Amino acid sequence: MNIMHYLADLLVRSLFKADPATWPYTWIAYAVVIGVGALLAFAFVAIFAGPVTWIERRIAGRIQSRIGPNRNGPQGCLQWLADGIKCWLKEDLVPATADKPLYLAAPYLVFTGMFGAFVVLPFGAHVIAADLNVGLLYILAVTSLVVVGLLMAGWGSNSKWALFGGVRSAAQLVSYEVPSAFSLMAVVLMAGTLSTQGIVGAQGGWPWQWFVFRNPFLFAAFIMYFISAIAEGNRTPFDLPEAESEIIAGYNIEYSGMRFLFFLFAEWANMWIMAAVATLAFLGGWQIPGISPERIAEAKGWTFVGWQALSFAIFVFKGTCLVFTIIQIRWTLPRLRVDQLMITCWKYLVPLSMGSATGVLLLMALVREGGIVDWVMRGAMLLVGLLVAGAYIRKVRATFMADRDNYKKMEGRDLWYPPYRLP
Amino acid sequence: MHFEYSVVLIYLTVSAVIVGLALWLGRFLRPNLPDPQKAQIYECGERPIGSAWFNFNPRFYLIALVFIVFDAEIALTFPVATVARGWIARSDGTGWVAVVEILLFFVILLAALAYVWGKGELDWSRELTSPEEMP
Amino acid sequence: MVPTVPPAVSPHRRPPRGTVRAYFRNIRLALSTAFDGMSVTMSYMFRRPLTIQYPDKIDKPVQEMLPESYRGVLEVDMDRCTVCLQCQKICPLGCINIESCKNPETGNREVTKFDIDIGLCMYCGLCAETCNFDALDHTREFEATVTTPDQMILHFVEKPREVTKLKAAEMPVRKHKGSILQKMIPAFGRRHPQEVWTPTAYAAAPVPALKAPTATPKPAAPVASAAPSAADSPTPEQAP
Ligand code: SF4
Ligand code: SF4
Repeated sequence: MNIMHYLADLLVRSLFKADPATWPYTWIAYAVVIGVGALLAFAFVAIFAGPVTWIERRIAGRIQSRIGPNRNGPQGCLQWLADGIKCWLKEDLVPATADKPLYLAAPYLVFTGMFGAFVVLPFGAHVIAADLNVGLLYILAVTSLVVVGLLMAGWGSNSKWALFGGVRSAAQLVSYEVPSAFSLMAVVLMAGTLSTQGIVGAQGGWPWQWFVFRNPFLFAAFIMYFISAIAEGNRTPFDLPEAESEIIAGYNIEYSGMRFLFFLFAEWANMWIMAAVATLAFLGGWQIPGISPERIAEAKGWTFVGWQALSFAIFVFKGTCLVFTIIQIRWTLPRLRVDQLMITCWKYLVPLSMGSATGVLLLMALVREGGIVDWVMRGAMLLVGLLVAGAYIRKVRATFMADRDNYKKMEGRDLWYPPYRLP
Repeated sequence: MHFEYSVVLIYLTVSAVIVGLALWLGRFLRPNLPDPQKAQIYECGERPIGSAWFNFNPRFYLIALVFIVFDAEIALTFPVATVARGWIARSDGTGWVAVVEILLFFVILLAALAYVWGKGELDWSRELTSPEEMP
Repeated sequence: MVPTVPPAVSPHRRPPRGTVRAYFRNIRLALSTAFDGMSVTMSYMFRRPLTIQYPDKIDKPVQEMLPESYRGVLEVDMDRCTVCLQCQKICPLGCINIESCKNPETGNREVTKFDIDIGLCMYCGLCAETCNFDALDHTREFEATVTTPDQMILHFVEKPREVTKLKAAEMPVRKHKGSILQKMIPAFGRRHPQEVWTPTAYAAAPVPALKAPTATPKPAAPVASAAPSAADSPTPEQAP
């Protein structure tokens, strides 16, 4: 049962004392409730995308031994609000030679394509707008609207930079859709359903129940999905469509003020969508460890609400971790060249992701789920994950220690300055 | 079912309305001082030379064709992938039908990819053999 | 005999391109180098940032962190200046404009004008180098923001004053560098109310007449450089 459907029925019953099945105005109540849900989703995007821009700038600062914006509000946490208001107060410029309809319509398409994906994102056990039975395919389809929007922006601006940016982003987005679709196909094979809630339900709360640690092929599929998601979100190291050293700003070069902001906003929200899809498909989604979905569904009253809130928090936490990883990658890796970008996709990711989907298929057909081989594989993959994490921590510590003594000698101060210490 | 898809419709409408509303409200906040200089295209401070609507070689245009092949195949494979699990669980041999079917899809795709790869269409600079081939 | 450089053969030589080995090597390299890079950037999350948060959130003013030899805005201590005009002569840009005359009542030399155009100055340090009396020197002040362009010309002589006759050794100690300047530029600590600069106000303001260095008098007449305007000096007297 859809939660919004349920709420709307409840509203009709309690407020208008009517039976939703026969009342002639039920659809108005439905539309209002769904509209409110959409506004809530928008509020989530805005509240997520805004501060994340600020947090990214602070993280970028620390990575480059700087500080980042820390003047607007305590520690600069209102910087995003200032940026947004500034964009709102800016003049809206339309180039005289632009193709006006295309130019003006592009932000709508980009934003709508991004926002449409929120329909099927399962934020919690029952916190989902609509659990479509074609969920993942729907996400792949609706986010393609963004490509159309970018191409329209690039072509409609009648600027050479914008045109190159638009064409580049179209080539990149369609190319990377193939490996991301194949990686998700591995998940669909495992789950046996396309519905996002179904995929989350096929996993569990504990890490060894997540798809990413089920078998080596899914582990590889997760990495490949993550890479192609970064590429689809136009993030560094795949941010060629807006490579400032080559084509200034790419497709949004002629846009100003609010229209420009919507492009940026869609990009940031897109990052969240990619992280959310990776979370739901590979990292167990909102599943609470030790609590089965049935127990959540059977709970009553405030317990039910509490479980929903907890599952929401878990989902957002996992997604945010992935978003931070994307941010760190942005400030670590240099940008690829155009041909390297295409080669990465077509020569490496496409065959390998097809291979991983094949591997998952064969393992499914050959290995009985819950059997000894299955558990050995899960344990081995979990061990691999832990080893990688351990090696990472060791490496970070070694890198830090290598410079600590020299710093002490040169500056007379300790190099240690953890992230929670805010200058 | 109808409810679910009306959710999609309303979400898309609401998002378009949000964009429109923000732009419309901004109209009362932002200045509007048109200027022929501002209405020019940005070309690094120079006067723009000609229009941007010209033919150029974007490279990789063949990739668009390859992509269409792949995307169509993906759209066809997803339904099979969805039911494969149920078929395999049935343990009467139908599972192998799904496995073989998906593998067949993949083999065809891989053959296409190998062909394009072998032709060198995935590389940036191909050797131009004759002057006629020069762009 | 020319020693031949041995070919650089490393044990990890690249396998030839296009081979299966190169393909898998690329995958391995992509993952391992990304891993290494990520660990380096992550370690920076625990390192002290280098930024000095100018102008606040610092222990001491930035001026005091600069090296002693920093060439900031010029300042002249009129108690030590003998109006020898060496600085005016050496300045390649003609930023320094000094005028002096003899007071007919007391017979003493008086300096009526000592202007330095810091908007024109290129901070080459020649003038400070050439001053024998340690009167003209660079300070460590750099925040020379003013609100109107004519404020860029610093007037070190407000009203005519007697030129010192003391020898270098007998002169009063040089005032602390920067202490004279800090009273002059309004932006230094924003001690003075700001003037609002408008294009019309700028256009109406009298254009300060700057003298080209070639217009300085001959060495034979070291005292006065040019005729001071009647409004400036009470008893104008042309130098001989
Ligand atoms: S520093 Fe150089 S340019 Fe500036 S006043 Fe002195 S001599 Fe002239
Ligand atoms: S060189 Fe020194 S003493 Fe001579 S006029 Fe210039 S500031 Fe005064």
